[in-house]
Amino acid sequence: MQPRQDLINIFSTFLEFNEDRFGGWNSDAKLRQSMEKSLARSPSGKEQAEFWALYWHQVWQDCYSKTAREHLYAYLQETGYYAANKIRARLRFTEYSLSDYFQIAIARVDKVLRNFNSQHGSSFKGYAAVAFEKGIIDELRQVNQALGYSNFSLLRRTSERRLKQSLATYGVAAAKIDKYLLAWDCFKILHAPTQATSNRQTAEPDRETWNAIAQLYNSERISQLNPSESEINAATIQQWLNECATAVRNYIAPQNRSLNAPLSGQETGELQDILPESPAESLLTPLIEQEEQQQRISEQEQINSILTAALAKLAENPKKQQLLDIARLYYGQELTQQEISLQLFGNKQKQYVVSRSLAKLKKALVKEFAEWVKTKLHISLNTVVLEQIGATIEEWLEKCLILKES
Amino acid sequence: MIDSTQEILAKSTNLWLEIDREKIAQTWEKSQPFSSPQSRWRAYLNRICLDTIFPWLEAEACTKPTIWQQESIYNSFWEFVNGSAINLGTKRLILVPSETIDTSEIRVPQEWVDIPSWAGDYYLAIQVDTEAEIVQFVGYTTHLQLKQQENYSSRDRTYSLDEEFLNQDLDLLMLGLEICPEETTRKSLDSLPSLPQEQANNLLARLGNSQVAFPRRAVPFQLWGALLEHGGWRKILYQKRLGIQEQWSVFQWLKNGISELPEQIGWRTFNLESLAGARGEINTKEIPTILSRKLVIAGQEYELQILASGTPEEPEATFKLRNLSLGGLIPGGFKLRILTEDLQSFEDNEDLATTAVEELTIEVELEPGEGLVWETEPIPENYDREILRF
Repeated sequence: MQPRQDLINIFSTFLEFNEDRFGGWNSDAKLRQSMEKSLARSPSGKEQAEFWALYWHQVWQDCYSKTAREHLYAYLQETGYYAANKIRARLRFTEYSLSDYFQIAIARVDKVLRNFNSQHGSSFKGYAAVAFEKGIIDELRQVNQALGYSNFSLLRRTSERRLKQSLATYGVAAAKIDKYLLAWDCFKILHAPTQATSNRQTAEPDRETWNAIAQLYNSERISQLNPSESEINAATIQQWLNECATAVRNYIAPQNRSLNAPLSGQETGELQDILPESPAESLLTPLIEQEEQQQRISEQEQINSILTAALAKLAENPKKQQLLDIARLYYGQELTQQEISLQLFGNKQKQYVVSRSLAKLKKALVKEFAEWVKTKLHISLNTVVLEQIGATIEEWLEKCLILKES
Repeated sequence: MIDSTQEILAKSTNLWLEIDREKIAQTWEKSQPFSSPQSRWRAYLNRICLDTIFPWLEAEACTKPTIWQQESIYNSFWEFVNGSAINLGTKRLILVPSETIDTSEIRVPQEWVDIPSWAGDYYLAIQVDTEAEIVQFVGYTTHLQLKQQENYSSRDRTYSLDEEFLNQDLDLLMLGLEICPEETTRKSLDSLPSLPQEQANNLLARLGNSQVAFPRRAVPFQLWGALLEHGGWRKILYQKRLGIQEQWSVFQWLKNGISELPEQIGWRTFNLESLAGARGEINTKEIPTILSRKLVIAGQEYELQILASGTPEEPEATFKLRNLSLGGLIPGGFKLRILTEDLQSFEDNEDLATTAVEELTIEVELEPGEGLVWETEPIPENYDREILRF
């Protein structure tokens, strides 16, 4: 892949795959125009991509702008590509192509937009990179699990949100989805597991159970749906539930990933296609931004020195040595938790120890850093801020420990 | 390579904990007394979740966690609702287990959000996989956020929040409780209406039928919430759905011993024979039996005693509250109060300690079959109303 260099391209082109390899950059005329216009209005010297990323993020936050979101979507293309490449090297899933991984990663853009906070000096791209990798692994974990389930186990173990999304993607009309959901509720009540371990291969309900499910649906439909809804029989409800299962499988199948990650417009469809009339006057006021930019650079230096000192302090304590070893292997050499367990303890059974050590290190660094955020940046702490600091720390650990290793 | 792929994908990048395999059979055994396979399964998942998460909290939290409500009382929750509560100092965590494979959302039953005495500060989405024997932490949110984002679904009476909006690091929640406990977490709630006895009886008769498959959705939430919040009615409803005999008849306790549930909660009988015998004043005809249970109020142990007397036609009862420590008193300001089943006051139903006193006492004359509810101020730990029937 050839990374983009030109600022306008960076915010207005999208990666194209050609037979699962990098196929070039696809330009979006509307975005190009918007970027050119904004750039022309801004004072010179603002040619850093990261600066514009923060700017568009601010616009997105302020007016929930669709265009701003798309600029950021364009900006994160390389980040998504690198994350996809990295995970593909780790997980050899023949069903998944590079572009599948890319789509899963880039689908997390909205989550990144919502959770990123520039106030703590985190870099937008770095933050997105961590979120993308985690996103791919978590998504694949769920998909992978679902593969081994029978239709009726899968239906018991699908969330309502996922079922609704699946049915909508499958083309089921909204009014019908309500009926399917009631049928699904009745199924779950009457086909619950009857032993301590729930099975991946839950059998299909027998005739008697199907009849009972239909009967329950018919009696509940009056109060829970429109009273004029017609009665249905066991065969219909059986067909509906099979359709639900098919829709869920279809939704999580890799080839449908790209469909689930629409480029323009989110699920909510509430994005507005507007931008502030005059960016120069509102957000781009030259002095303020210049100050902010300088402040950001010094903040990042600050963060670096605080966290480096915190790590050095840990290194002095012989008891914390193992914690640091684990962090170096995990963030620096990118070993998996199982591999680290094998390397340090000679078996894979100590994954929990590895996982807890990483969590403890992160918690200790967040605590240290939160103190600084509170006293120096005068930001009052709450759990959302801590979570954002946590993301900054992880991003920093990846960056800093990789540098140290190389 | 497939092996390591499977390994990577087995565990969440969030906190995960292994289920104690040795306890599974026992947990399943404990989860049997329910009206349907669905509620049995719900209880089982909740118990596994609680038993796995609680020790982790004990090890990691900056204050000592306690499970809100005694374990035996949870059956009357899980028959109807998913979830359990853990108190951490002044904060309450609501655990919301789910067995879904995808972790796209947290879905919290309305009861845990809108019943004032149940509501919590933080709501934790937890994935329970009984097959892989793993409990994985998905994310958490606050009461405030659940209420703010207009995430109410009238279809299944839940508040849900998409995964994108959840905080993901439980270790950082523990840190937050330590370094920023002042965080605003709750939206204020209106109290639920009080139900008149007759209406409660109607609801109990109707929803106590285990054929009603969706009791949570069968009546308006205000009524349903008020019925469940009243621990006495909730326990009766649970009994009715399981077809269990009345558990709370005081005269039955005196005759046949204390029923199972009240005994698990801590009710005991004793008579004064042993004391009297030791002093050589045995008069077997007039040895009264006393019912008692231990209460913990403001960190101190107390005892609630009931002396039932009179005849079955004209029953009488004396309620006493005493300090359990040797020579201990009831501090000034404490109150003992007796209410009717639907929580109405009546004449002389309250005793207040104006200064520190040895005991608080209330004597009541009753109609046969009448039910009474006791309460104290301050409220005892894990207080759940109970209706004692005479």
